[in-house]
Amino acid sequence: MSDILAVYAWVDPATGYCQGMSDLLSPFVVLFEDNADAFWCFEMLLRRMRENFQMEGPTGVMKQLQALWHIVELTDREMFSHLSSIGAESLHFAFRMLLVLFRRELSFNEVLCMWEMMWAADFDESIAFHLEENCPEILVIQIPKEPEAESGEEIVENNNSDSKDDSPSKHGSGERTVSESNGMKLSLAHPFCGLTRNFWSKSNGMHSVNMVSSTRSTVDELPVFCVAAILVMNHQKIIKQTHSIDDLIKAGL
Amino acid sequence: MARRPDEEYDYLFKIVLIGDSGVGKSNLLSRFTRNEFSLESKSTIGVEFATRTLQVEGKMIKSQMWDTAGQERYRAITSAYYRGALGALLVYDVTKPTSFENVSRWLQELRDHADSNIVIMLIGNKTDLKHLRAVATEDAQSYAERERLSFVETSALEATNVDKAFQMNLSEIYRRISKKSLSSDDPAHANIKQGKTLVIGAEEIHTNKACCSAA
Repeated sequence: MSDILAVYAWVDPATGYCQGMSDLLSPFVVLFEDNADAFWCFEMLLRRMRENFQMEGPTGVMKQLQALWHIVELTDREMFSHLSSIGAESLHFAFRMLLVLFRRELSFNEVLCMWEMMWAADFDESIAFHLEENCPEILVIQIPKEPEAESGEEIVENNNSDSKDDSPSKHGSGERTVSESNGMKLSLAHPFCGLTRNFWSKSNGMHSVNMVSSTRSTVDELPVFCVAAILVMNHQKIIKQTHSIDDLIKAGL
Repeated sequence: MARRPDEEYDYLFKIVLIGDSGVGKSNLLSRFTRNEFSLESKSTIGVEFATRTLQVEGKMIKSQMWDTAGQERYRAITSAYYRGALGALLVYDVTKPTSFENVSRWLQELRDHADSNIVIMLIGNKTDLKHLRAVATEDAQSYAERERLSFVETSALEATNVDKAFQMNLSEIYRRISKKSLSSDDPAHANIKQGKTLVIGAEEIHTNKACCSAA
């Protein structure tokens, strides 16, 4: 496992290694015999969550916690006032759930079900294309282009290789779930990277990416709603049994 | 609802554990609160909590310990943890000189983000690894004197000085608070007897009757 983390830190030096990554990687290492498979799954997952592990701090999780607090405020006023009164408005107790996707709260098998459920429920083709496009440059392999490729595709790719400096304009609004520092290396050959599907569905992908960038927020929403659901389900327990912020941990959420 | 014995307390003190990653903060805490030690403990994510109530100078003190992640990039958020903390345990690893060198950076963190009255204790952990020691006791002792910190060396593995370290910190906080409230004629002193929230500077200390006051 440390080999995979070391390789990851090498291909993505802007992120490097961060505490908590091993929690996300270990299920893949257990599930797959081949470390390479585990690596690519982990790498794909981090494209979604890189903002949580960057040098500047876990800004992704901080945004998620703000969103969670807003959800609590809108859906459960009693809980909102209770958590405020015990000084738990920063929701520190939910930080770990969001950073390592319930890996420490649930058993190993439960987590596999949870992740499968979350990613199946969260599947959005345009997001999937967006993630595929954000392969770290170092991992891209150039595969010679098929002679029958469409001419329109070449134009798209040429434009991209001109803006290889990762300017936000490349993706319209510049709102992306993944760090800007990981650009794509595109040329007249097909770029191919890990689990990516864009090898055979390139042009559709580019179109969707632009839509994603302008419509989706940068907050990974589903885990936030999962935590909100946990809070709502434990409403009575939280109101009755928590008198200070440490009780929220003891309450066994 | 009947309160468990550990929920009966006169004061609630918030303590933060800080220091580089891997120095043993979480194991010090588990040794103090549950008398447990794990050789294979996982890295702390964000902040974790543990509490223990013990008697200090005749008063029941509930210490609410905030165990923080040590890695550099988590510092952006750990500063938020210092709010309202009355004590800080600044831990380094006696076998890792860099963790001792970084103590001054952690002190700066505290001075930037914590209350100026916070009671800081320097702890050199892992004294059981005698053959690997790389930070001399005298060096740490003189550093602590210069910076006016209390200092103790511990081994969470062998349970050496762990209780002592926490107790020294809690006693010192209690002394500062009682001195402060006795020396002033403001209503804070009266609040102790009435069991209301006692405000010391920017911090708040809860008594058990005022269980739901804001931190």
